Amino acid sequence: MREDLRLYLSERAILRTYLFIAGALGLALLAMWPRTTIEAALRAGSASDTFTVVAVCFLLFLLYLGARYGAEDFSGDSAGRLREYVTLTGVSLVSLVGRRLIFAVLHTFLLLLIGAPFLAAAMAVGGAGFPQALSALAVIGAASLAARMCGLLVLTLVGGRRPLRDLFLMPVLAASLVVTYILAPRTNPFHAIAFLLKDAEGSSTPLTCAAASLGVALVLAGCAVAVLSGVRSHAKRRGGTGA
Amino acid sequence: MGPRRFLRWTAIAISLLLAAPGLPAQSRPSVRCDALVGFNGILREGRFAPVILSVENPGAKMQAEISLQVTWGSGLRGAPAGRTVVRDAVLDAGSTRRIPFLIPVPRSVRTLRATVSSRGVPAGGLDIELRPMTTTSRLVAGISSELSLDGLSALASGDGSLRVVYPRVDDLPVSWAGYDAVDAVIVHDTSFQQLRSDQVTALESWVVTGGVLVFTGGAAALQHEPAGFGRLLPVEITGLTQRTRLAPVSPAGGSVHGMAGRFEVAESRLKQGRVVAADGSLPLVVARTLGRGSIWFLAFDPTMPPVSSWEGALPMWRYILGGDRVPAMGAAPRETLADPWIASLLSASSVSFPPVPALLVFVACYLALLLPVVTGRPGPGMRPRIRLLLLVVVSVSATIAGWAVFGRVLFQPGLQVLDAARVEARSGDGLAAVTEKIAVFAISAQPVEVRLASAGAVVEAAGIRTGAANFALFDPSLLLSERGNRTTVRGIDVGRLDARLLVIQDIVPLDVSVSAEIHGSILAAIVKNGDLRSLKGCFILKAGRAYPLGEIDPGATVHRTFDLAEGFEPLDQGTWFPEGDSRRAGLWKAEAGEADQKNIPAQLIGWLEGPVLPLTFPGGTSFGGRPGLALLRVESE
Repeated sequence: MREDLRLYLSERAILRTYLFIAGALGLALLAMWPRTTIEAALRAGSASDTFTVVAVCFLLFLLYLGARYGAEDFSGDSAGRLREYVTLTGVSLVSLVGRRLIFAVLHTFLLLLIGAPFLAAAMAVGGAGFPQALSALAVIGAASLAARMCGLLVLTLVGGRRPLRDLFLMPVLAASLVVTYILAPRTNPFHAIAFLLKDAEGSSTPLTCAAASLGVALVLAGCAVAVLSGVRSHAKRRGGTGA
Repeated sequence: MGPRRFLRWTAIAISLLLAAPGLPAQSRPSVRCDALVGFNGILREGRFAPVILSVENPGAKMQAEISLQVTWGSGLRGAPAGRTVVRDAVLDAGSTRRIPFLIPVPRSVRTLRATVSSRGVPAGGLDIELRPMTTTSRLVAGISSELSLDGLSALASGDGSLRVVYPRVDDLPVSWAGYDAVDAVIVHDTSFQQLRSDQVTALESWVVTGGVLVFTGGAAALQHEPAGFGRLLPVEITGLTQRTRLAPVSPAGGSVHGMAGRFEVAESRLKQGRVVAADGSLPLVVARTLGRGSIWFLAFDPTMPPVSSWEGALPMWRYILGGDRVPAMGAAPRETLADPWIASLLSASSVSFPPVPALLVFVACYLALLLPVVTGRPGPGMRPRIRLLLLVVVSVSATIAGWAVFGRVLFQPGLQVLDAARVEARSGDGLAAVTEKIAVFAISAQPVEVRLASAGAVVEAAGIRTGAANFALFDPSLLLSERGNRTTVRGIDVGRLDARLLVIQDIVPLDVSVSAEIHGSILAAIVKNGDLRSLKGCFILKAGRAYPLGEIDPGATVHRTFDLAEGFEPLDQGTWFPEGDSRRAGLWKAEAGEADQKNIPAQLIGWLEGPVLPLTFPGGTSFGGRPGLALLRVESE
């Protein structure tokens, strides 16, 4: 955990992603800031989408970055380090993945904090209250966590081969989002954010979505444990044969 | 536990289980409900109607909540719109209580459901199908022990029939809007019954809104003052006299022959108003204006021969009943911003979303704080934990600052209120009819609650929510909770960047008298402000020209003379309104556009600052930080 903390707070590439989040959200907020009078907005009958757009951008960034963080794309040697842990040490795999999951939760919390000022500014003009803002953060955080675990699973499956990882990770993520948007919209984070302010009666939808994303994250973490277990037993067999 | 004991306990348990469903029904107090709807069970479409709910409580004393729900139309997805009025009442043991309500009767009215509950447990109810009871006919209410005014149905004109209804004195409305369905009230006799003071006040207030009240004479006239009508009568009845011939009576003018026969005529002395027809010193027809309405006194009994068969009877009635009262239930659903008053107030406001430069400053400040934290070289000076701490502190502070600056200081997304009122009175009446329009809107979706310190006001939800295709999604519905002398309005939920309109009408005391007389080319005006508030931006409006008076302090009397040629065009806002007050100018223009083009002799126009009706919006703020505007119109003597 300390190593992860040091890595995520000192690695320049990762630190730059924090600035990217803040800068990109700032631009999105500026672009969507309402420039009309209240009268014009009331007459048009269309509420400002500032909050929704900023939240969707935030979700998009954290999904992408979460997948990258999970796949350890920002630290070149970590993929090899994970494989070494698994094959050379007898550390519990559940504990290994669990620690990464817990760190991912804490790190996602930090990322949410970095983007929160823009959501707070968008709240007033977008017509969102605290419940909606917290719901949006919950949806974004949980979805980012699921993407992170997806990245970890791909990392365990593909190993250090980055091109192969890229070939799998983003298409799988995108496909899963498209499929859930069509087949199970209540579990899709984009759907939940887009309808957060529009559907007054569907206040439970964001929490359902966040819970679903958390469940997916746990399942993916379990899959990663299973894959790593396979890797370890395979390495043991090879080591035994070699001896 | 032996088998016998086990069986005994099992039997007890089973019998308890079997008896359980019946327990609530046995312990629940039950009441019997009956309702008197409208006048003689007749409801006029598009008007309010009185309902008297009789609740008989054969059981023990109970604190009950009585709700009356009227449904109409078929709104969104078949869900009917409606109005619910909730009132608390104590039902004494073995008693029957009559509880008055007021319900709207729209064209598509469907059902009335009365529900009596005690501590949340239903105790009784009643369902009434209202549609068969509705009529489009004009109604005249006759307070008479006999059905002696049916002949008035001959007054039916091309625009519809006329029916005469005969409410019992006990059943007369206690709210002015209870008379909304009738065009006139004719008091013949009360069978020596006395009206309650709230019934008389309701009648008086209804006249202020434009109602026509007629007192007939003859021997029955001696009942009017003992019945409680004293303060409404334009005359003091001193006795009875016999006549065999009466002078021609023609309030509308024209040639009408006098009446011959045996008459009983009420002798009277004029108190207020003017004598329209007299037989020597004996007033035969007296008229008094009160607010927008009028009160008439006929010294003879028009239901008895020879008057009933007199050739001038119908023209006389046609003239007397020819008022132009605007129904209380006149707030037709419309888009809130289409209302001219609200549109003028909103367009005159400069309130807008927070400016982009403010956002730029905020984003720049945040990034400027974040940049050194993120780009600082790792090492002894920027350990990961310190960086983490700084990141958390900076982002949390920026979050709080963003919420406070944009959500509290620069912009308040809570409920916003725009309100404007029209206060109409006649000089010296002491009463004024108020129509207050309130637009509520919010950037974020939230429910609206209005607390009104009055039990007699008429509340209409006129602002409808419209969809993209500009069609109404549902009719406005309201929940009125009446507790004591307070009314709470709920049931209107404002959507995100949505606006709704409430129209409230009531009668309020207002002591302002105006006299404007022309002597040659000089207009002499005397205005007395007996109200506790100052009248601002006042001017006399005469023949389409305006003559300024300025501010009139409470208790002050102003004498002014004007050269008629110096009158200005009142729509020239720069002349009358304080500089920069475009809201007043906008409201005045909207009001002038809406006003009736009646030939009114002279009016005092002024402004009362602040909402005229005592109402509050929990959580609401006046839009743009300005109080509501009330336009005062007082017709001169």
